Amino acid sequence: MLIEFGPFRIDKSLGKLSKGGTPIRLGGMPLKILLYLLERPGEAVSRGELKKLLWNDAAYGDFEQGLSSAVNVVRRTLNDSADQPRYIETIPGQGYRLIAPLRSIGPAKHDAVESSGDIRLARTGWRFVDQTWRWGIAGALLLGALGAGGFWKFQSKAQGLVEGSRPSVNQEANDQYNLAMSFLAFQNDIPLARKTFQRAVQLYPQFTSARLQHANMQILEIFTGYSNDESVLYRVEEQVHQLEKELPSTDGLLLGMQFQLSLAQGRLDRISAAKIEDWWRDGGNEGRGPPVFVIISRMLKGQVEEPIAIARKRLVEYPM
Amino acid sequence: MLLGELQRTQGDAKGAIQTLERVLQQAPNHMAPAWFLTMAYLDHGRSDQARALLTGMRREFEKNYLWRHAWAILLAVEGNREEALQFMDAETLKFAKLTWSATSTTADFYALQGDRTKAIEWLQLGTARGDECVEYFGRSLRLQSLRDDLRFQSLLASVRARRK
Repeated sequence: MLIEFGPFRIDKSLGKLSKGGTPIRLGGMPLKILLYLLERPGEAVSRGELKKLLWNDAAYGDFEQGLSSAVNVVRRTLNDSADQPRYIETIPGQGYRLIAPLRSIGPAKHDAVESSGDIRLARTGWRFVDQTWRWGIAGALLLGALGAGGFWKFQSKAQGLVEGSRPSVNQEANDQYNLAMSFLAFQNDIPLARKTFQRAVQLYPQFTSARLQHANMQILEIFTGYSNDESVLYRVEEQVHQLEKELPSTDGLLLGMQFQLSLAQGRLDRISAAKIEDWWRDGGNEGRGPPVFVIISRMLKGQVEEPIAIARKRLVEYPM
Repeated sequence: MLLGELQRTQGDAKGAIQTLERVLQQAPNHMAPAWFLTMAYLDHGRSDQARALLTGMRREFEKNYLWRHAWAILLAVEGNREEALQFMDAETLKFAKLTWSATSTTADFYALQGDRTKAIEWLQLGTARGDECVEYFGRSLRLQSLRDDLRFQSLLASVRARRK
């Protein structure tokens, strides 16, 4: 079913949003919220309903912040404002309401290409996403989530982690890990992702992937302007040294974290560029081409043509 | 996002803008692509677009150091020297020292403000921290005022020599 509101059109069955014929990427929680509101035009939708929709009513500690952040993503995508809403109105103390007039324009025709990827997102909710648009987000996250360059599956029921991650034996910790990854990939909310990874570590302190991601988020908070606390680097260095004792030196997440830390310390000489390139050429990154930190290391060496060629190749393989 | 930055440093500001606007469309609440896009707008001589972009994000990101950094450079481009200094304050500079994309770019700010010594100090810091994009430094319009400075020429030469 295709629905139009303002200059936007959404294919509800595929969860595809467009504006003037140009596709606009919206996924994860923000897309679910928009679709839910579109089902209830003019109705007040409580935050509790949305909590149930997004988290199956599970009592995650960062729900309030996560929901507000997801609604903000929808608003920014629609170029809407909480103060002067055109599409989504906040009902203080209650929830949200879709206030835009909707125009239903009938069923959509889907071709084979359209139905191959994102359809899973629309039909199964949190059952994510191949990497077709991951590149854009991973790029936007500078080094991206370590490991988020690949696809992962996130379902309402507990299950595995992002490829390249090592699940813990604690399912609740694994759930928090996946939740944190969704905050990162779909909401670009690095502080919230950092807190949620921290929660995963608190639930299971031996959870190496969560410890790496928590360390990673602390650095990303600096790179994305949320922090200027240099002492973070010392703490992260200690964490990374501990993880180096626990993980093989070829672990992709660990390698990415070492690069990230060295970059923040201004000590790229500490990590061998050859080691990164060897890891990648030996099949690291699951055959998805060079990871973002390979491009950055070349950029900083003043190389232009080759990193551009790598980036363009990735965009052809995994378009935004 | 990195493709956009590569295009910009290669001199293709228009291509960089197209790429980064697309990234920002997909990650609309993310300050990092907005920072790179601001630099691309400024390279393209579109400070009005840079101002519109940052103004639109101000409410949410005013305390974000990337936003403050970009805003300070925009103000410096516009010639608002005093106001620019208010945003490029000690806390923003602390951030810039830790962030690979912002360290060398802080030299742009000081070059625009007419403080060549500080501009060169920041470039020295950037290159010491691994940013060796000397070809871009030599081309950058915002660093134009440094080109005849012997310290600047010497810095570029030393990085080129180190690479060989």
